[in-house]
Amino acid sequence: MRISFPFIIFLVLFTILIFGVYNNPKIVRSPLIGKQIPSFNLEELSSGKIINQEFFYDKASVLNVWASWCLECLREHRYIADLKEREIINVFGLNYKDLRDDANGWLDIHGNPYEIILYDNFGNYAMNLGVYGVPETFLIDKNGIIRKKFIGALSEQVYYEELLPMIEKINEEN
Amino acid sequence: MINELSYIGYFFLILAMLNSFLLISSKTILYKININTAGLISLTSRMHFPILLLSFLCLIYSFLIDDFSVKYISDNSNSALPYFYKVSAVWAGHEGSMLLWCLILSFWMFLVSKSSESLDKEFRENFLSIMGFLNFGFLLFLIFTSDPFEKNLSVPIDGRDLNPLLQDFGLIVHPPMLYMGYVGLSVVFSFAVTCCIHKEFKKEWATWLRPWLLLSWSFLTLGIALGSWWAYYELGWGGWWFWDPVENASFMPWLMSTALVHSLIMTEQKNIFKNWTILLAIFAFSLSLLGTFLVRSGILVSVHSFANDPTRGIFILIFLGLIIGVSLLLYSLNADKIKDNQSFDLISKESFFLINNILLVTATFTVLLGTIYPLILDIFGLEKISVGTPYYNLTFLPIMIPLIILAGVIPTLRFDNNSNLKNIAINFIFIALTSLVFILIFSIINLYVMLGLFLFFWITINLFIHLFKNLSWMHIGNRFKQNIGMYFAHIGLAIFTLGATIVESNKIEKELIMKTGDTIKVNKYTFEFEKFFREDGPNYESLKGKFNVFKDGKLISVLNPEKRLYFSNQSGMPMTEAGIQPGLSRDLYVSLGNLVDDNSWSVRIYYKPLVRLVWLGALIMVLGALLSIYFQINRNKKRRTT
Amino acid sequence: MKKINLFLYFICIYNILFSHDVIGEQKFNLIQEQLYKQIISETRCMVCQNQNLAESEAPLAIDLKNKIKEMVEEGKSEKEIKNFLVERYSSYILYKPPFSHQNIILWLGPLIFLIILSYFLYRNIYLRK
Repeated sequence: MRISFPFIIFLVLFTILIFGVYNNPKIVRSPLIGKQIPSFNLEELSSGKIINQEFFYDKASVLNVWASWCLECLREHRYIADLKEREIINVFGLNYKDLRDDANGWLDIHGNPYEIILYDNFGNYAMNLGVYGVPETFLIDKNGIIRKKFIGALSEQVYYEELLPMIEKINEEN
Repeated sequence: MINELSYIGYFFLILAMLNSFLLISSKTILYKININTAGLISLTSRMHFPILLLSFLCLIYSFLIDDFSVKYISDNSNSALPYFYKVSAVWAGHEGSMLLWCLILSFWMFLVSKSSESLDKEFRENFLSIMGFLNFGFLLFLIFTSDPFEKNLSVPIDGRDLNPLLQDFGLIVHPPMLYMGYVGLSVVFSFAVTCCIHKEFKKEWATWLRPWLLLSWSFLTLGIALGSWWAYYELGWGGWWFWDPVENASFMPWLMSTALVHSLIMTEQKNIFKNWTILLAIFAFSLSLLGTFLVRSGILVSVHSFANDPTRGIFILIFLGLIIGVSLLLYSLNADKIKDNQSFDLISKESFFLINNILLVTATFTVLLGTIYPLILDIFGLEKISVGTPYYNLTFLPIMIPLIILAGVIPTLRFDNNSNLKNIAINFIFIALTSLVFILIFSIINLYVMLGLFLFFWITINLFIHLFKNLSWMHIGNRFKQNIGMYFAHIGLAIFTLGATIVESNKIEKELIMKTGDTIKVNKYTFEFEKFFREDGPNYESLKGKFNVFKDGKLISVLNPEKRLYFSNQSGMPMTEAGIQPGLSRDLYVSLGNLVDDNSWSVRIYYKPLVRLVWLGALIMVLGALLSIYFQINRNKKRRTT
Repeated sequence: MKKINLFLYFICIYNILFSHDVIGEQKFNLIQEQLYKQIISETRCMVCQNQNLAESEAPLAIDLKNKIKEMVEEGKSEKEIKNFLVERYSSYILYKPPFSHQNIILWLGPLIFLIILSYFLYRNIYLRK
């Protein structure tokens, strides 16, 4: 007893820390995963048409939260564009806390990779989605259930090794 | 030629490594081939520090002459940086702070080598060899994973700047103090391990060890207090303790070494708790190593964000695991043979010391649990949580309250009889009444304030009664000298407690939008936002606000909170510098938030009663420890001469 | 004067880029204000390294503070507001971890440790004479 007690504490702690070194403390799993996408009534960015969550049903989709003032969004722009070209999934955008003119200007310069863009100028809907670090990318299946969330700009690795395989998997489901 | 100084610095590092290798081989290899190693151990353990100091000076000099061919310098300095920040930038990053760590480690070994002649010869040699092992190991780590003299492939024209958050007086002095404390515990640790090897812990050894422990405890206390003070004025939120992982990392060794200070008293005076003292010594240093690891590896999210790197983290971790694992193994194998030869009653001063130790170690465990629990959940893939102030308020504070009560009781007890329990009861009633009078006079309704007041009076009045009672029969002499440090340390704790409880329960915090010309009344003070103006520093642009503070219609202070934008950090956030009018009874604190439109700002205005007592209390504790050291060293000298 | 304008311009740009709004006027009563202050001091700012909402001036923190204020004004209870936050951002946002089964060791650990340690020391130091 006397010999083992301090030593056990040490061993437990040491094991935890060994695993801890390879752990990224900044990733927080969203509680919305596995749940229905929260309902909304938002204007479409350019047309001003009102859209609700029904839009997400019957085909799987990617919802990318972006803004014209967000520098990181530019970095992942080509992956979003590439995704649209592949035509394997709906690509929607959620324009976050932006001005309409700025957003449209940004799209004119860099190209519009989205089929439809929801306009969330006060960030209210983004708050319902638990967005905290723009850009964020949600993967939503055809039943409107959130399957996965990526925080921060998509990197080449995340795009090819995580996002694309997951889309394939979701598309294969009945 | 002069840029070649970084090579010379590197050369000294290698030299120091060879020197420390010589030191550890004296006891392990050389003595087998019949070389007289006694002189060699003394020499090498003293040479280590000057060699590393030369290396360190080379790095400082390279910083001063802006030698951007060195990667560490181009990453952490800039030609526009004022010279004193160039010096402090030496320990702003990982590599430099590891070098500082090694330097301080060698400095402690130097001191020990100089003043350990009174110990048994064999014991001393083993003791210095173990310190040599630590020095050697850390140097290996420094040279192979974090060489501060590494060259850039191409020399940049100018350096990236020092992190603006670190360009500050507090950050010049905070890390060296903290490291002095962390690393000072290595002396106690090496001593304990040597005790394990010798299967013995003599009473006079404990007497020798005590000043060393108190000295590193003082540095640790100062370091933590400085860090808290820095966070208070620099982060702009007016808090003095955040239960941030990095703060916890320094707080755990502090709690553990505080427990050790008390258990060592028992070992020294009553020849008991020997085993336990050794274990605490091992844990105290282990926790300071853990603290370094947590801060350096970046595995926890913290306000003090440092660059992190998993491979480096794993190196430190394995090295630490070796040190701690081997020492615990030695302890497990040999500790049974180190026996206490005295016994004590269940109700006695000794038992109270034991309770003090139990509470302090439990408090340490609580902080440790709160710090790493989110990590454990993360590893098992469970829902991620945050552990913050509300958790510690519910778990840590309840442990502290009985501990503070003990701090007022234990000094008044005597070792030999238990009859003074009655006195404690009388004192309790008296002190409760005093607190009640205060509570009624100031019509205090807040529970925390009542508690804080009571604890404050409890310690101070108990100690004063004890002091005056003893003065009558005690020829001002040994007993007084022996206790005076303790009086100060405990009164420091009382003052800290008073400050902490009152500032936390009576502070006023306003967050509002002010236009120039607006006024707002906070407590008895009227703050007028007169204007804001531009006033640049050497390497930053700055906008200052001018706030006039009136009390009863009279101008009592002008505060200039600032927003700074460092040249090197154009895309980053502007830095906040708070405007503070300090005072013993209260601080007035203004910091600027965001600019809302042309002339209105979001502003934070804080009224912080007695916040200074938090740091004053810590300083008085340190003063107490220093007095103890002084009188003990005097006593030891006298004993030796007679 | 020109220099001031340049710097102001930068700070304005900064605000436009990263936040459009600041905390609005507070219009609620004393109890509500206390609740509001308590909640924002026990809630984590998700974007910052380690700050609570009260301390933070990050845009999202300001949005959340405004939302919390709005909910307090509507008369929502502490529990409802915290649930609102947890549903969106997970328990990570609370500085006070919930008393759930996964956190049982966290909450009871200190007590268990206290008991074990007391027993351990009683046996090894007191009984060993």
